Amino acid sequence: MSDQIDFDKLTEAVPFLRLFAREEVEELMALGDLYQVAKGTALYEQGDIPKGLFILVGGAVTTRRDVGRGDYVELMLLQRGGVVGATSMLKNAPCSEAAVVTEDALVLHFPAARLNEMRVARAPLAYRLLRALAPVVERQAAETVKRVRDIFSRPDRYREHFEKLGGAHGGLG
Amino acid sequence: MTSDDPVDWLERVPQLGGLSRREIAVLADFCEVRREKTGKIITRQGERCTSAMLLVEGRVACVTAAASGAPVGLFAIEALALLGTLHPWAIKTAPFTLQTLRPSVLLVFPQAEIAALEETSSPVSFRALDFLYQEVARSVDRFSVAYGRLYRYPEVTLQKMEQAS
Repeated sequence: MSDQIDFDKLTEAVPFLRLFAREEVEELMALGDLYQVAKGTALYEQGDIPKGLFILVGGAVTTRRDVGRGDYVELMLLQRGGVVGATSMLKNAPCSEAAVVTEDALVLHFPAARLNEMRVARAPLAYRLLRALAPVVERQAAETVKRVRDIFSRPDRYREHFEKLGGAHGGLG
Repeated sequence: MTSDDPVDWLERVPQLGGLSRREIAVLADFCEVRREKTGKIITRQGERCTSAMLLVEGRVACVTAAASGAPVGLFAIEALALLGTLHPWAIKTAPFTLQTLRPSVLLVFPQAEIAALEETSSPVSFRALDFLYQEVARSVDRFSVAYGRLYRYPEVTLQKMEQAS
């Protein structure tokens, strides 16, 4: 009974897991680690080898990209139920952004090594996981795409920001 | 290459190098070859997304529309790269216009075919989808890099804004 409650609570907090059958969630849980992460901690840094998949059971995380000279741009703000690390996990290449905890978080972490073992073995669960992650990543990309598009479709909202930034950088490059 | 057989093009994809010609043929059933001349608009911003396209030869510009309606070039995409979207519920309409900068060859995977491939549980479909998902992730990187550059070079961004206004 308590298992039932835990399962329900978990899938309520993490809608992503609803894509899986109960047995698959149990199998995934056996692969993952659930732990607390304090505000300000980086789950991974830009350039890190993939650390795996992080599912936010509570708290908040921002993903950001270093653009040089100490500046960075925020790509996404994720809250309970959000998934980070999926892009580097899918492409199996260094992280192209950092993920930093902005509110004390409870994360369900699936280490890359464990997931990669399953992937190499072409385990059905790995296949299901990758299949579930692809649309998540596509939706997250849509958020970044929207920001790029908005700069030009609504220039008045951004012009002041860029003029200020241009001055701070003192020129091109 | 002049072939219109997807098998011939898929065989040239390094990431699919481990697949036999027979396995490649299974994957080829889910796509078709599309050839485009320079200047052809492949996808127009705001149109419904219905397919993912693997650019296997050529070069494509990613273009957005300014408030004035004028086109703003964002970046160029070289082969090999995935364009469009795999899943209709993920991104419903094309976020940007894609236009060929030189004669290009695309392997078109209609979303319905992707769904069919996802339902096919076999080592071939696993390998093929793993490859397509990796390309999805790389295309995400392209946009986050573009977004970062727009911030990193504010003068360029302002110049683009001026040109489009």
